[in-house]
Amino acid sequence: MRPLRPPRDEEEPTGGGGAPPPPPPIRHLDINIIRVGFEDFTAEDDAELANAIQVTRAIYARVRLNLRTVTFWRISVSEAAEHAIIDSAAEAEDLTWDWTVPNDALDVFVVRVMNDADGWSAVDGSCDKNSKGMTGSVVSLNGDAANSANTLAHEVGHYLGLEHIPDDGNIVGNNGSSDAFTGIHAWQGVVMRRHCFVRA
Amino acid sequence: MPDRLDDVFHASHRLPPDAASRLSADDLSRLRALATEPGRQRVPAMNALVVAGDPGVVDLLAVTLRDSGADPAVRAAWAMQLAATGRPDAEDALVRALPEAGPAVVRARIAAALARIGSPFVLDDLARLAGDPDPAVGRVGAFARHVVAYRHGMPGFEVPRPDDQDLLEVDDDHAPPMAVGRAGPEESAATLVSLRNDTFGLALSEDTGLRIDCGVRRMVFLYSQDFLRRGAGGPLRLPMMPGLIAQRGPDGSYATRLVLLAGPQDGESFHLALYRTDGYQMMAGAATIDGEGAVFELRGVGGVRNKLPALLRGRIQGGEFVLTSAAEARAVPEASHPTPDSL
Ligand SMILES: [Zn+2]
Repeated sequence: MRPLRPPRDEEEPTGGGGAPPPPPPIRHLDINIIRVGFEDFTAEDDAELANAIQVTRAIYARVRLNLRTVTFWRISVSEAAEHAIIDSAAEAEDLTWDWTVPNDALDVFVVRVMNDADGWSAVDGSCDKNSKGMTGSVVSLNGDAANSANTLAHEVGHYLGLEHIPDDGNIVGNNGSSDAFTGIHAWQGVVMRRHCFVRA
Repeated sequence: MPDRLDDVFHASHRLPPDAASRLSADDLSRLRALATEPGRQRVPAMNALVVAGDPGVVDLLAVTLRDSGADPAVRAAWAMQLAATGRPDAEDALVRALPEAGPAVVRARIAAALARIGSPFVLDDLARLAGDPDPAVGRVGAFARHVVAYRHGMPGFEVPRPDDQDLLEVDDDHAPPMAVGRAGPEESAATLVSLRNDTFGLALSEDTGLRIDCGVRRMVFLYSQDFLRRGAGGPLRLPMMPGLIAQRGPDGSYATRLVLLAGPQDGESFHLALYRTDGYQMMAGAATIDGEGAVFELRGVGGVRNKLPALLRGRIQGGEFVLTSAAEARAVPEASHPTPDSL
């Protein structure tokens, strides 16, 4: 894993003398939610997914990153074939290699079941979705609602540049065993807001 | 829930290496209960039992896989977990589940699991899966048949050989740089450990490998011990699997991404085929024997949506690949598009 990148061009407020600096401007992120094998999603799965989006939006809002437009897409059971489940990070990359939404929002693939992980994502992923590598995030509904919410916030956080950190309670904390954590640091917002998928 | 089980259910990616080894008999018994109860924890609970090497896990998976009332996606995941146990009785459990497999995702994943652990005894079952009316099951079934036959040195199950006009051109001038070098014993051994049982049934060498860096991606080719022993003359006589390509994931762990098959072509050359683990043939080519080993060329195969426009040229010396030229196009052409939806 690469080392954490210190924020460069946009610093969080530091206090000091005089009036506090104004908060950084709100930035916007658009994502595509792609249900893989959509016919098999139950009402409970859809509710868990809707909750995950809502929780992720609330977490990101705390660092002035607005989850603006969420567009929904589907891949059928027959189109998804065996990729309706994901068995490894290599298979997650195959899925993002084979499928792309033709717009300039971040692709987030949702599978109901995943072996060996709750989700996979590139770290500081590409904004050219036809490039090589994992060109999207892949999340599962392996856990309860709170766990799946963390998985979405965690994997999209990776794509926008976040690495695992030791901090307990953080969305990418506890060195990756981040359970249902919802915490986010201001400096993580600075990192995410610099990503090319994030718009003014 | 005891703390040690938190490690199992809180992990976002692969279980930390020490998490499974710390589980007590009581933890394993709780996991067995969770793995067989309806609920979202079934898959991670069973996964932890597999990683922990629980002695009863094959029997547990054998029963649950045959439960036709269970969620097809969960059963498909269990089929792959059976392969991941690396246990000899897993093959029998997969074959016994076939008649009641039901949905295509379950059939395809049983075929994929058999590609990893199947013996020649499953070739007839795989022939039936290769002829399955569902295209994905047919693709994975045919792939599994090739893999099992090549792994066991059995002629008569040759991979399809694309025509020259189906091989892709790569514009070397615009290809991103690919750095290829020998992976020493430390890196090869660490990659092998990280793969756990994801080795497609091959006895892989931990002494040497080939490191391939392309952009942000790190891959390691691991040789089968059989290929290192026989050298370039091996596939000239019988089909075999020279090795596989493991790719490093975002958490630093490795998973098998591509497998290499090789077999006789004529008296002086053998064919090469590089497959994705879901059964798509991504690259094809041949090697020709010369005085010091062999020269080879592999090119991307067109005609499928997920093509890999790449070119690899080099030599095989002392059983090892030495690349003289490696190029990969910058973009993946022609990805499919999902359909607009609402929640
Ligand atoms: Zn992570």
